[in-house]
Amino acid sequence: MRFALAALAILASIPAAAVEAGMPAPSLSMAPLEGGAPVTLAGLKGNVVYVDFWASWCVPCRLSMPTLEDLYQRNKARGFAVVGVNKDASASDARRFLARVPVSFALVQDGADAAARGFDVKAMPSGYLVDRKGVVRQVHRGFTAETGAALEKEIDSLLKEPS
Amino acid sequence: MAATKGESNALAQLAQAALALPILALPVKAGAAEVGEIGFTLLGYKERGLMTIVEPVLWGRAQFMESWEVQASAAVDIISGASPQLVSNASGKPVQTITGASIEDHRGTGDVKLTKRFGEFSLAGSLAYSKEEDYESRAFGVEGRLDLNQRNTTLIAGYGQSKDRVGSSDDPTLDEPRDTKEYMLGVTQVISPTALVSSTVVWTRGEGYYNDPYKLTFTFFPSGPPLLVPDVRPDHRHTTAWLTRFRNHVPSLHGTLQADYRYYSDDWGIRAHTLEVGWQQSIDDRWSIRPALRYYTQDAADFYSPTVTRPPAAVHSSDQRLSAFGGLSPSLRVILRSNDRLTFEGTLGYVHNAANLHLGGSGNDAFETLRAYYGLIGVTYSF
Amino acid sequence: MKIVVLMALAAFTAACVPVAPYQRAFLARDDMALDGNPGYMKAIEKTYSAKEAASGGAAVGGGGCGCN
Repeated sequence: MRFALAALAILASIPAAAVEAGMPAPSLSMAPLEGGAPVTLAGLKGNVVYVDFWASWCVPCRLSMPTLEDLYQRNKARGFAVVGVNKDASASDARRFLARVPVSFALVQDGADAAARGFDVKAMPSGYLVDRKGVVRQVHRGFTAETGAALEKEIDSLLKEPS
Repeated sequence: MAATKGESNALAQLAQAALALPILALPVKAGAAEVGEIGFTLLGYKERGLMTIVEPVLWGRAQFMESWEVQASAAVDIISGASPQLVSNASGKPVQTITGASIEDHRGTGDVKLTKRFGEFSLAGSLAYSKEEDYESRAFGVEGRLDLNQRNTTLIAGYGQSKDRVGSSDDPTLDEPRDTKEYMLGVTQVISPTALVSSTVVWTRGEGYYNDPYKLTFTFFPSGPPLLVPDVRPDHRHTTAWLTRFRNHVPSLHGTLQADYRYYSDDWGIRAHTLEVGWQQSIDDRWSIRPALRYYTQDAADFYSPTVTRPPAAVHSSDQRLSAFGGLSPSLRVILRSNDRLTFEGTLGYVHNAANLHLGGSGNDAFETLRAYYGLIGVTYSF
Repeated sequence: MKIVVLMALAAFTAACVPVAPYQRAFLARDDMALDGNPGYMKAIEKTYSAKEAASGGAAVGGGGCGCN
C-alpha cells in the first residue's frame, strides 16, 4: 500500500506538459523488451532518434512498424536510430505482434508508464523525432502513408545537421 | 494499410454483392489491432422431442483506406422436426399438440455494414435480408458514433427500418406486410484501464401482421360445444429494450467478468428480464475458457391464454412464447488462439425454460418445459 | 429495479478515471469486447430469441424473424 502511494506520488509529480516540437526530449531510461542493459536517450545523443510509442492493439502500428523498420535499415549507417516503446500489458502480446511484423531496432518496455507520461502521449501511435542535440523537432500522432513520406524527408534533413 | 487498385476493384464487387444482402451489428472493442478477419461458425441446436436447427454462418470484416470498415455475414438455418401448432385441452389440461408431418424449412439471411470514420465521429449504414418459404424481411439501419474524452466516452445513436412480408405454406393466399421502425440511443463509458460499461436503449414501433398463421387453440368446455380459434394478435407492437453490459478484467486472476442485463417491455403486456454473467479465464497464452449462466424471465402477453375464453376474445394466442415463464441456460465456451492468425472456439449450452423458473413464481401452468442443447464451433482467420 | 441500475451507472461514472490513450491494452482484449465475433453473435441470439418474447437492445436494422 505504501509503495503504491509512493509510486503514485512519483508518477503524479512527473510534469505532464505535452512534448512538442522545439522542446528538449525528456531524459529517460527504459528496460529492453527482451532484457539487457537499459536504453537511454542520453546514450543515443549525436544520433537522430525516433521515439515511437506502439502496441499490438494499435491498428495503425501495422503500418508504422514496417515503415519505421524500412527507414531504420536505410538510414542507420548515417546515425539514425529508432526506439520503439511498447505499451502492451504483457510481453507475450508484443511478441505475437512482432512475429508478424519483425523489426530490428531497439524495443523497450514501459510498464509503469514513465516514458508515456514523460512525453505526455496523446494518441497511439505517437512518434517523436529527436535531433542530434536532443531536441524534439517533429511529433507525429497517429500514422498514415503520408506520415511515412513526411518522416522520410524530416529524417533526411536532420541527418544533414551536425551533432 | 493503403488501398491498392486491386483492393478497390474487390471492393466494388463486394459493394454490388452487398446490395443484394442484409445486416449485422458491429462488435466493438475499445481499440484493437485486427486489420481484417473472416470466420465460419456452425450451430447445432436440439430440443428434446421437438425441433432441430443446424445453422452455418460465414462472416468477414475488413478495414481499408485508413478510415473505412466493411462487415458482412451470411447464414442458412436448416430447421427440421416438429413444431407444436395446436394447443388443445382435450386431455383435460391444455397441452401443445403436434399436428401434421415433420417440417424441414430453410431460412437464408445476409447482411452488410459499411462504416466511415471522420476523426472522433463515425457513420455506418447497414442492410439486412432474410428469406424463407413463408416469410421475407428487408431492413436497413444507420448508426452514428461520437468519441469524447480521449475516447473514454462514446455516444451512439441509430435508426433502422424493417419491411417484412408474412405468408403461410398452408395458405398461399396469405401475404401480409409488417413494418417496423427502430430507434437507438446508447453510451459506452470506460471506467478504468480494466473496466468499461455500455448501456443502450432500443425502441421499436411496428405495425402490421403479427398473427402466427399456423397456430390454433382448441378448447373443450364442461358444457356447450368446443371452440377452435386461430392465433390473432394485435396489429401493432411497440417495444423497449434496455441493455447494459459491464466488462471488468482482473489482471491478477488473468480473467474477465462479463455481465449483461436487459430489461424488455412492450405494449402487449410483456415484461422480461435477461441476466447473463460469464467469466472468461485465460489459462495460458493460447487457451481461454468461459463458463456462463443466463437467467431469463418474462410475463405473459395480455391476450395470452392456453384456452379459448367464452365468448372468444377478438385477440387471442396460446403460443407459449407469449406466456409467463423463466429459463436458466448454463454454457461453456473454450477458445484457442492456435497461432497469430487462427482462432478456434467451441461452445456447449443447455436451455431449460419452465413455468416454475418465472421470477415471482407465477408462471403459466400450461407452459411445457423446454429442454434444449446447443453446440457451436467456430474458426476465425485474421489477416 | 430501474433505479438500482441507474444508481449503479451513476456511481460508475463518478468513479471513472480518464484512461490515457496509451493505457488501453486491457480494454483492447477480446474478452473485453461488448460483442463476440459476428458468427457467434448471430447464432447465439437466434438460439434464445426464437423461444422468448423479448429481443433486441444492442442494435438497429437487423430485420425481423419469421420464427414459428
